[in-house]
Formats: sequence, structure tokens, C-alpha cells
Amino acid sequence: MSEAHTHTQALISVEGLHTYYGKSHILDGVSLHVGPGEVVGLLGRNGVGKSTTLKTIMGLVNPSAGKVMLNGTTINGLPAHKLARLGIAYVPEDRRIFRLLTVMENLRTGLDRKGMTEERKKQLLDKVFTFFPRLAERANQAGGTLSGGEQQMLAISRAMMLEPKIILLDEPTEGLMPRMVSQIRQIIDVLHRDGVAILLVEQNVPLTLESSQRIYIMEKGIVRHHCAASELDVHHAVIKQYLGV
Amino acid sequence: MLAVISAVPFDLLLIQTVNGIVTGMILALVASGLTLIFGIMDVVNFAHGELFMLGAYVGVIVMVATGNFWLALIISFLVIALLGAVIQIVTLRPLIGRDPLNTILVTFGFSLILQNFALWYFGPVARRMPAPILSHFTLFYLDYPWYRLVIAALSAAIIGGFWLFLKYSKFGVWIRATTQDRVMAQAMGIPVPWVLTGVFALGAGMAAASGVLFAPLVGVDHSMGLDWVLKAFIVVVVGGMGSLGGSIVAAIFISLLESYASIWVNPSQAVIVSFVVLILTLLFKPTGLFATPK
Amino acid sequence: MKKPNRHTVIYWAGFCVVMALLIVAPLVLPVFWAKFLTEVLIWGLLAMSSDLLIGYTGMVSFGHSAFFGLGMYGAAAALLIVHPGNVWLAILFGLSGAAGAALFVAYFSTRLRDIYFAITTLIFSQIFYVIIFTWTSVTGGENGLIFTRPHLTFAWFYDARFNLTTLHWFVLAIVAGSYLFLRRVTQSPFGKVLQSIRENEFRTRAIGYPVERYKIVSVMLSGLFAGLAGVLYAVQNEFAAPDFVYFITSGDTVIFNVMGGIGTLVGPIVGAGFFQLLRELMSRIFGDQFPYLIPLGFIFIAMIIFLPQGLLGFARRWLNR
Repeated sequence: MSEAHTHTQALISVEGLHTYYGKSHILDGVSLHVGPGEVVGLLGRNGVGKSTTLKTIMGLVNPSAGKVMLNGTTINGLPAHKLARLGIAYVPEDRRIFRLLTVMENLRTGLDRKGMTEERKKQLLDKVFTFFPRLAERANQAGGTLSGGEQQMLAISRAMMLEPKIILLDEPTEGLMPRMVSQIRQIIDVLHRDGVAILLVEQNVPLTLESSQRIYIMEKGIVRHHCAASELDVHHAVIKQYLGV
Repeated sequence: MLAVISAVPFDLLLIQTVNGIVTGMILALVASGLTLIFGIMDVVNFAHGELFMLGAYVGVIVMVATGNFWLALIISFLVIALLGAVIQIVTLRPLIGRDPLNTILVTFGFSLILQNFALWYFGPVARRMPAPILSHFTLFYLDYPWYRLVIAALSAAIIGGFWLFLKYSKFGVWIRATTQDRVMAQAMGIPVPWVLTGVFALGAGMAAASGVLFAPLVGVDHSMGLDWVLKAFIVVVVGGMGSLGGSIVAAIFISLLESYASIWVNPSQAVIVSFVVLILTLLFKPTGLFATPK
Repeated sequence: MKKPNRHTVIYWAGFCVVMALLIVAPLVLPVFWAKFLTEVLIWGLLAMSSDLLIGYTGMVSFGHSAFFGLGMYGAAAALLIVHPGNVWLAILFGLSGAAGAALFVAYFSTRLRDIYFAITTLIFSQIFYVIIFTWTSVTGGENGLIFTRPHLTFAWFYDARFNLTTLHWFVLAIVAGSYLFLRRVTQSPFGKVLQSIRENEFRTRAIGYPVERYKIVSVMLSGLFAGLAGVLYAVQNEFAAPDFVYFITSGDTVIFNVMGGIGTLVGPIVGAGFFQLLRELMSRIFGDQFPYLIPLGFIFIAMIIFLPQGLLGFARRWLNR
């Protein structure tokens, strides 16, 4: 049963989204919301539509029905580049950094915006480089030469360049070593402290439960369960039901 | 074979080399516009030759009105770039996402329209455009016009400037990002539809500039674009579609060969050289003889 | 024999009606329009041949001017070399010429795809143009070749000059016959594979079909019929000129296809008629010097954007059953 999600204080609110890829009904009435500064986890098995939900919010996929709202204003149909400027950043599964551009150029794509002074740009870069010193070392290297973990750092940093109100994070820890996973955990915390909201799609349940305030669980294109993260733990029946092997 | 080559007087060979390089540089400029548009937008711009031709006409008009060649060059670039932008916005944007075949057809349609417009508006008589530099220097037994060398230098400068622009400017980064991953470029706030318009306009402007540079060498008439567009396409294929460096090398290579060939055969037959090169390329290295990943 | 279903009946009834009209046409129309109609049929044949490639196999080709041109010059050769000219010999020579060009293009069709193929065919038709244009001794260069129209001969029992009507019927018979043949081909298993290549070449290949061979046959067939159109044109107009080998002719052909509706066989003929009619009307209303290609060009572009299936495209499925 979908709950009413017209929370006017919600930063991002999604209601009754239906999306098709050709004939496949991928999203079958998805509704969820993310408050300002909140970290919200979106869990579910592979193929239930978590990524598609993110892509729909980002304007990369057009829903056939339903609404996507930013601060109460409907943003359906707006092109992705406008949404990026309105404060929504997207870090896709498989990172998709610009492989032939250098690390700096990758960052520049988000940094070179209207209203950005040289001062602010420097501050942003410093912040990111302090947190990810490896990126600073590789600043002039082509993105494609970075390791998987470094590319993930770059993808997240690139999104941070937009100074977004919310970051849509799609499986950031996939394929990463445990050391990197904890780095991701830390950056999520830093972003949260800075007041950036995060909609986190993940397969890593413990990480998601630790970082998020609320959890949605999806199955077959629809949200099946919604509660505070504190109510769940890895062994909870609900987790076993929707994510169990 | 050696006997034939050594029978050619050295100075003739050198003159033809210079000629070949000069034509090659202009061809390179025309082809770069095409490669740019194709590489970034996946659009085969059939109307490129007509943009070249209209650029030459605009150049002639400005030249007649002001007597200033350099002004003609700049204004022509801007006017035709604007025309390119309009064409892209009105007809190519609606086609994004559709079968690329459609863009070939639409640009072909424009090629017909623009050509016939030029014929109708300017008439069939070729116009002359005086070169900005009329002096000659002596290259062996010939009075070789300085202007030809200036063209080559200018074309090289424009291409070089453009390369720098791509590499270092903000818009250049946007273009390169859009080429690599259109979706993520959008997600990073890059206004991709406008980048595409800008690229097309830039390509159009470059074609126009080539037209103005070339105009003093020949008469300006409505069909001057046709031959160039064909050669430019050959250059783009031989150089590796989408490869800027490749098209430049290919342009010079083909022009040199044609230039040498004109020693023995007449120019309208020397064209066969470029065809032969094309066929050989397609047979042995269809991705392009000189393709570099750019 | 299968009981004919309603669709088949309607289709053939329609076909008969159209044929009847076309047969009667030269007898009732003024001379100008009768000739106009004959020429539309010839362009229609050319456009139809191109549709086989574009509409059914999914290979856009700008090379048809080469096939058409070689058909034309082949016929010219036959009519100039052998006296008295024999129309069947002209057809034979024309087809051979076109076949040669087709073989050439076919070879490359298997190594290049999509845009690369389209551009290359364009360049090829230019190559043929340049050769024909400059090899003045053989081809008459810029001026082309002039010859007299052969008689219409059927073995030993008929030999007479063509008149307007018999020429029209001759052209009609050939074009109609070609249409029926091509229709048979597109509806055969072979044709179905071609369409499958158009939809998804990769998958067709993965299933196990030798895609290259199908493509080659498709190009050959397309080239032959285009050449046939060239022969008919030569016979009708008594000259062969390099202008027709210029790539613009290929462009015009593609325009007919798009306007009429690709993948319908009939559509391109309609497209050819539509285009020629518009052209004729414009020159009548606005005068000879009017650059009719400007508004026509805009119409063409508008059709691509707003009416991509062309005039008959909406009936594609119906026509192809």
C-alpha cells in the first residue's frame, strides 16, 4: 500500500511513478521522499527498479505516469542539465567518469558554473582533495587510468562540485575493497554533516543501515517497506524477506 | 618509374609541393568542420559544401562593401555560424534520438535548398574576390603569390586555435565531455542541446572561413561547394571519421598526391587520385589510414 | 489453392484498377502529360529499386545514379554499336553495365555499415561520374551520347517504331512486371530475411544467416532494376548524359523514397510522381526560372521531421502482406 507522500517539507518527493523500458513495466507506482539533509537508503534485490528510480528523478528517464517534485515543484520532464543546476547530483552505478578527460577536467565540468568565484572554486577543490588526497596526486591524469576505487572517489567528488542539495548515489561500494568501503562511509557522513541529502541505493545492507536515517525497500518496481533505519538490523525478518538469498 | 620522376624538373616538383600543401590546408580546414560535427554529433553534414559556398559569397559582399578582407573573413564566419545554429535548432534538434539516416537526408535537403538559393539570388555568373595581398615572390621561375602561403598559414592558425580552444577552454571541456558521455554531461549540468548547437555553428563557421580564404583563388559560384564537400568527405573517411588529427594529415596527403598527379594529367582527372586513395583505404584499413584517438 | 482472403482481393482489385488507368492514360491524356506519366513511371522504377535497399534491407545508398547512369550508357552503347538498334540488346547491355557497378558497390556493402556505406556509395557514384565525364572519346564526355530510338521488336513477328502509346505501354509493362517481381521477392523468405537485417543486423547474423550474401544479392537486384530504369530512360529520350550520373540523381531518388514512404515499393513510385508533379506545378505557376527546389526542399525536410513514414508509409504493413 503506498502511503501519501505529499510532505511539503520534502526535498525530493516521488509519487506513483510508472516507467517502462519498451514493454517492461519497471516502475509500478513508486512513491518515496527525502527530506533536506536526510540520508535515505533504498534497498532491494537486483533488477527491482532502484537504479531506474534514481534515473527518473534525475530526468534521464521519462516516467509514463507519476510525479517527481523538488521542494514541492513538479520537475517531471525537465532535462537533466537543468536539474543538475537546481541542485540534484547523480553518481551512477559504474561511475561513468569522463575517461578521456583528466581528473581536473572531470571536476571542472561541475565546477565551471555561473556564479562561481575563483575563491569558491578553490575552496571546493581543497575540500575534495583533502578528503581524497589520491585525486590530488592524479590531478592531471586521464580519468580512464585511475583504479576502480579512485574512479568512484572522482565520481563522488565530481558530484560534490555541483554543491548539490541532494546526491543520488547508485551502489557506490560495488566492487570496492573494504578499505574503500569505509572511506565511502566516511564521505557519506561528511556530506550529511554538511547538510547534503543523500538517496543511497545499495546492496551493502550494514553500510546502508548505519548511514541512513530512513529505509525504503523495493520489490518488483514498488516500495514494499518503509521505516526508520533504527528499526532494522541485518537479521531482521523484513531484510531476509526482501533481500535474502 | 624512377626515370619518370627524375624527368620532372625539381622546381616543378617543389612548386607542386607548395601548391599541394596550400590546397591541403584549406581542405583540412573544411574537413575539420565536418569531422567535428560528425565526431561529436554523429551528424553527416551534407550541407557543409554549401556553407563553404555561402561563406565565400558573404565574404565577397563584405569585401565589396568595405574593401577589408579580414572583416570579410570575420563577418562571414559569424553570419554562417548563425545560419548553422538556426539550421541545427530548427531541423536537427527534433531528430535527436532518431535514426541517423534522417540527419543525412535533412542536411542533403538543405544542401539543395542553399545551392538553389545561391543560384537564384546571386545568379549564375561567378564573382571575383580580390586577394588581400597581391604581391608575389619568386619561387624559381614562377611569380608565386604570397597570398597562397598566407592561406596555408591562416588555415593552420585557425585549426591550431581551434585545437587549443578544445583543449583548454570551458566550452572545449564541455564539448569533449559531451562527446564522451552525453548522458553524464547532462547530469553534470552541461546544457548538451546547446553544446550541440554550438558545435554545429562552429563547424559551419569554419566552412565559411575556408570559403572566404579560398575565394580569391577561384571564382565564387553556386556550385563551388559540391566538389569540396565530396573531397572533404573522402578526407574524413580516409583520416578516420571523428579524428581531427587524422583528417588534417589525410587532407594534406591527398592534396599533395593530386598536386603531383596534375603534372601529368589534367586537374579534372587528377581527382581520381583521391578516389583511388579512398578505395585503397576502404579495402585495407576501413577505420581510416591516419586515425588517431581524439 | 488457398481461399483468397479479403485483403488479397482488395489489393488485387486496386492493382487492376490502377493498371487499367495507366493503360488507358496515353489514349486520353494530352501529349505532354502522357509523356510526363511515362517518365514518372521510369523514375518510379528507379525509386523502387532503391527502396529494396533502403526500405527493406536498411542500407541507405546514394549510388543509384551510378546504376541508372550505367544502364543508360550501356543502352547507348548497344544502340550505337549495333545497327539497327535492338531494344532487347540495349536492355542486355544496360543491365550488364549496371551489374558491373552493382558488383563493385556490393563488395563494399559488406564491409561498411550505415553512414559509412551511404557516404561511400555517394563517392562511388561520383567516381563513375568523373570517369564518364572525362573519358570523352568513349562516353562523349560532357555532351553525352545521342542515338535513335530502336524499334519495338518481338522476334520475327513484330517490328515497328514506338509511338507515344506503345512506348508508354512498353515502359508500363516493364515497370509493372518489375514491381510484381520485386513484390514477390520482398514477400518471399529471402525478403523476410532482408527485413530482419534491417531491423537488427546483429541479431540476424547471430541467428546464423549469412548476412553478407543477402546484402550482396540485395545490392545486385537493386542495381539491376535501377539500370533497367536507365535503359528505359535512354530509350525514351534518345540520349545519355553524365548529369544523370551525378550524385544529385541519387539524392533525388532517395527523396522520392522518403516522400512516398520507404518499405512499400509502391510508395516510391508515388513519391516520384508527387515530386515531379509539384515541380511541374511550380514551374507553371511561378515560371520557368523559379528555383522550385527551394520550396520542394523545405517540403522534403518537413516531411522527414513530421511525416517520416512518407505519403504511403502508413499503409506499409497493409501493402506488404
